[in-house]
Amino acid sequence: MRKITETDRLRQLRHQKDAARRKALQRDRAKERRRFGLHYTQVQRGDPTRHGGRRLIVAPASLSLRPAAYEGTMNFLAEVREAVLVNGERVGIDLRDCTLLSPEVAPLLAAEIGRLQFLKGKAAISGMSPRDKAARAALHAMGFFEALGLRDPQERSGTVVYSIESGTSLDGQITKRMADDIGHALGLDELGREPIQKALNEALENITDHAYLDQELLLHPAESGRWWISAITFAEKKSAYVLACDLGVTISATVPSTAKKRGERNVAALAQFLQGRASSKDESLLAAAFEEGVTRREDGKGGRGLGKMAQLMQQFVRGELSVWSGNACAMLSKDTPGVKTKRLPACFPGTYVMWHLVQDASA
Amino acid sequence: MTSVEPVIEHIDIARDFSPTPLGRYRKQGRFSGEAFREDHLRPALARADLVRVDLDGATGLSTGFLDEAFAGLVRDGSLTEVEFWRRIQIDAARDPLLIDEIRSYVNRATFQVSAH
Repeated sequence: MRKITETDRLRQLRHQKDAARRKALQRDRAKERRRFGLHYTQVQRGDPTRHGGRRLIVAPASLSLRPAAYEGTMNFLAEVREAVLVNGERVGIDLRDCTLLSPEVAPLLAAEIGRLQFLKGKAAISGMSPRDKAARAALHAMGFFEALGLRDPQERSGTVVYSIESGTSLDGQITKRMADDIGHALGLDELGREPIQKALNEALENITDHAYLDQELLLHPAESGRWWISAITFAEKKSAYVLACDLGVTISATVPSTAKKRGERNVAALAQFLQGRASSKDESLLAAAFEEGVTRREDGKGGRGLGKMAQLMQQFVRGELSVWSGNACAMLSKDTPGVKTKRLPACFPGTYVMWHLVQDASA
Repeated sequence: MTSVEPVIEHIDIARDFSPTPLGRYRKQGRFSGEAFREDHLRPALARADLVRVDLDGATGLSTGFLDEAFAGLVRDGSLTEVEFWRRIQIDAARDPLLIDEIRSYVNRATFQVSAH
């Protein structure tokens, strides 16, 4: 029998230590997986753009709809979409280096990932949580992981952010509950909460009625009728952001055909577009949609939803409504008459409505 | 000579249908305007001379719901605008503006019918 030498003992000890360290590492990773419901993975040394047969797509440091980060955010989403839908690749989205994740972007991220999972299966897309605690907390608080059917998060900041709700059919109880929560945070009574519920209802009604009506106009394939809503409230400032999102045809895509067919009383911008003279059709059409209510359909029904959505601002001390749709963004403010529109540097793959409501004048 | 009392039927939308109705068509959701019109309003109109619809308990009534539930009867030729207001009474004490809103939808439906 071979005698155990001091070197063997040291080697054994090192093995034991390594094993313990490995186990501890595995425990940490398992804990991480349980917490975030996502695969915690290590990038292979050889190829930083691939892992386990997946193409890794790295998110920009800032994910936001604000002008400075908008283009990067849209490009990132487009890259993910193209990899999965066009190239048929399995993709891992790498959010680890993301340090700024605006809460309003979480429903959009959930919508895009939800779309790809719906079209290509759950395995088509996976991801890695941000290392940055604040960014991770933002995703958690918005119910980002829940919205994707991943494990229920154990950690919530909870008090200011409401989970993303999603569906393809309408349920008034969901919007009522959300409006009650927002209203409670803003100190509104039942009557004061109803306009929020109405505005959300209008948004969802528009989505399920118009947004996916013509599948041929869709920028990218999507589940028909799918909507996402969420909210963020700041109780101490008595302010809230209310969010509604879809991946359907854009507002400007529905305006020309319906208005043209109906011989609608044209606003100048719409007339310019129809005569082929408009230089930036999406902005003009989005403004026309708000100013003249020309989103109504050929059958003469509807078309008042946008106006009703804009009315919510009037109930508050300060209020703004921003709409991203296709190549344009429209902004309405309670204090400023008219609609401000601008061309977006990258196309928004659907329509996103965000109300900013402030109840306290001193905030 | 005895006069015949008109038959009046009451529909409390929150109690009899849903406290949170939403959507224009059935395909959009269970408690849509189309569902309310076809399952509650139209049968009530067939049974009674006057139908009183109480909107007060319901919250968040959307344009699509109101338009389809009420103006839909004018659009499909079941009632004229005059008949509509003679046979349907809408109670909305909590938000009287809802009656004006419905009035505008019924009026627009009348215009659409006459345009065709």
